Amino acid sequence: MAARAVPLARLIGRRIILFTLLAMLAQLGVIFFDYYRDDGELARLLIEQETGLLARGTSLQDGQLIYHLPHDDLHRYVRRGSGYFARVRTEDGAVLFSGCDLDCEEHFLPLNVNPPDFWSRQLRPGKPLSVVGGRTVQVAGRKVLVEVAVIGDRNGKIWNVLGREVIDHMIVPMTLSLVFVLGGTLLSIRAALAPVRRAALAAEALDPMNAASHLETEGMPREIEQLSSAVNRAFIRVGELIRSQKLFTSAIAHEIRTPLAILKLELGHVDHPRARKAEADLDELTRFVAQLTALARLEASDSSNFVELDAETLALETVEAMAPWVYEQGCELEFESDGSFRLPGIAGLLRDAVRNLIENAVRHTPRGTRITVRVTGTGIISVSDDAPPQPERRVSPETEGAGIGLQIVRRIAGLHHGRFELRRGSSAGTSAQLEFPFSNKG
Amino acid sequence: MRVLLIEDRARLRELLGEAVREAGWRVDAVETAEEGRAALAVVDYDLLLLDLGLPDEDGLDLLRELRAGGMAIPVLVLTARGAVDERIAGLDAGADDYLVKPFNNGELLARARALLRRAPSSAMPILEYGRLCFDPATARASCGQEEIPLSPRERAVLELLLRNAGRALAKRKLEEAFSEFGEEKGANAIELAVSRLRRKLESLDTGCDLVTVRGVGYLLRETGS
Repeated sequence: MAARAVPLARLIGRRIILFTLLAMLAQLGVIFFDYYRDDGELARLLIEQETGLLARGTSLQDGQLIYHLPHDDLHRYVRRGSGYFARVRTEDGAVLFSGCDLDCEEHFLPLNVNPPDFWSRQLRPGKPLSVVGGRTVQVAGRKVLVEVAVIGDRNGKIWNVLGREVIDHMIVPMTLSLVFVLGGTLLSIRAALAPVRRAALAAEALDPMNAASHLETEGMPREIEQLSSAVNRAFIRVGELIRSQKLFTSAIAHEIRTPLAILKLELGHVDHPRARKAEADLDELTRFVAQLTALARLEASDSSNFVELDAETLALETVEAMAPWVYEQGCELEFESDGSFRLPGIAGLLRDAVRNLIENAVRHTPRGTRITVRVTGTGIISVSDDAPPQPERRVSPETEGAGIGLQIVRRIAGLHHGRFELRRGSSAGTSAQLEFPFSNKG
Repeated sequence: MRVLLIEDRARLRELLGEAVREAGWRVDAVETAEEGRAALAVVDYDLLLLDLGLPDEDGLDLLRELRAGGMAIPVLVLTARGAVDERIAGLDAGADDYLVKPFNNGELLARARALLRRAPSSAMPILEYGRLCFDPATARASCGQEEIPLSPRERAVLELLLRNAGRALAKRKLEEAFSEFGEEKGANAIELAVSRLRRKLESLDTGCDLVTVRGVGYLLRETGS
């Protein structure tokens, strides 16, 4: 889906250009139809065009007006039988140029007539056009009359006329409006999308593990604001679920733990080996309940209450707290550090992770095993043991509560953007490693 | 030794009361925070065992109020709330230790004794652990009936170990104690004192084991034998 997403501006820009082209096509049809139908107007425009072209050939040399054809294309006016005739003369009747025989002369104004600024007359109605007309132009302050007769328009000059009309009345205004409409639209899309882009970036940066995160809706167009509000509502709902789950797990824990306490104290008064066995089972059950609630609690944890922590202090505190239990289990515990690192996180959860790893090491190794908790300045907390590989573990994975302990550790690492890895050495020892993104400040 | 127990579950109250009485202590057991407050107002207790989930009030609120009112006796909180964050909240509110349900008699009494040993105005003037005895007033250490001859440094180490018995004692705490004595600081002096003390204890049937937790400190633990 993301690969096919096209920017809104490009989408709308393409549409605008497409519809502008369609509109141009339609207008072309209208202009064409309008002009083609109106022979009188066409004739006038044809005379205007031809006289305009021919008039450029007049120039002043040594106080004398002279004429030569300004353009090769106009040679049709000197070719016999082309159907195009022209005469250029001054106000007082001096002919500067004539491509005209007697036949056509009679269509032109007599030489002694003071010419009007512009005139045209259709010789024959319908197409092809046969038209005669003239125009007076000023050359060096003197009036020059250019007269033209077109019989049958064999060179199709009428198309030039239509082409110019299309350019004048359509291409220019439509292009101008296209530039302004397109530019204006793109600008307003950009402006309207700016808050959306900000929201999209903010949404990209949303931390799914942080239920307190939300999108700012201020300054957004209403439609986008609705979308953002819906996202925010979803986040609020998630937050509520997390809270109710927290409540739920602590209620469950409370309701189970108190009867367990009564049971355990009662058993303490029973002096029988079977009571000791029952106590051990009770301990396993307690551990399982603790792990389940820890897991549920972990699900309900998010990064909104992270604080800056010192890894060495965390690990050392955990080792101090665990030492009595580890020695009671017949194992040894030691702590090593080659420099600390700082990380943002929840202290309780990280201590839980280290404690789980120590417990795991004790449970999976024979008595007398030395367990080492090590902090390295490169963002690693590891718990390793020196036990040889155990074909028969003291506790099988099945009774381990389906490995919930390690699952908890993995989740805790994930929540802190870290990695958890368990390496079973072939010759000696297992190493459980937590690797975190870290900073060395302080 | 007089202990106040505030616990709302009747059966649990009975069992805990029984356990404490068996240890030779006097116990008053009440059900609500209100009754507890009244009892504390009239009797000087040496230890408070406090359940957090009380019917009329949250145990932590009661504890905060008592501490704010100047109550100094050690408090052992009993709770079903096992999460670490909540444990920390309990300690912040003024609890001296935290025992998560379920626990057995032995654990309860061990924690209670540890608290009393650490209490400044100790209701237990003589520190006992395993078969070891130490009287801070006379600085005499003994194992059973037999007196253990100790140098001043060894005595200081032993007292600190006994006050923290059953828990890991960080080496830096020993260092602090040594510097207070005006003794030369440094790990060597401490290690020397500890190893001499260990040799003396090993020759006796103390029922205790002094282990070195490398990178952390020392741990005096009961071996139960």
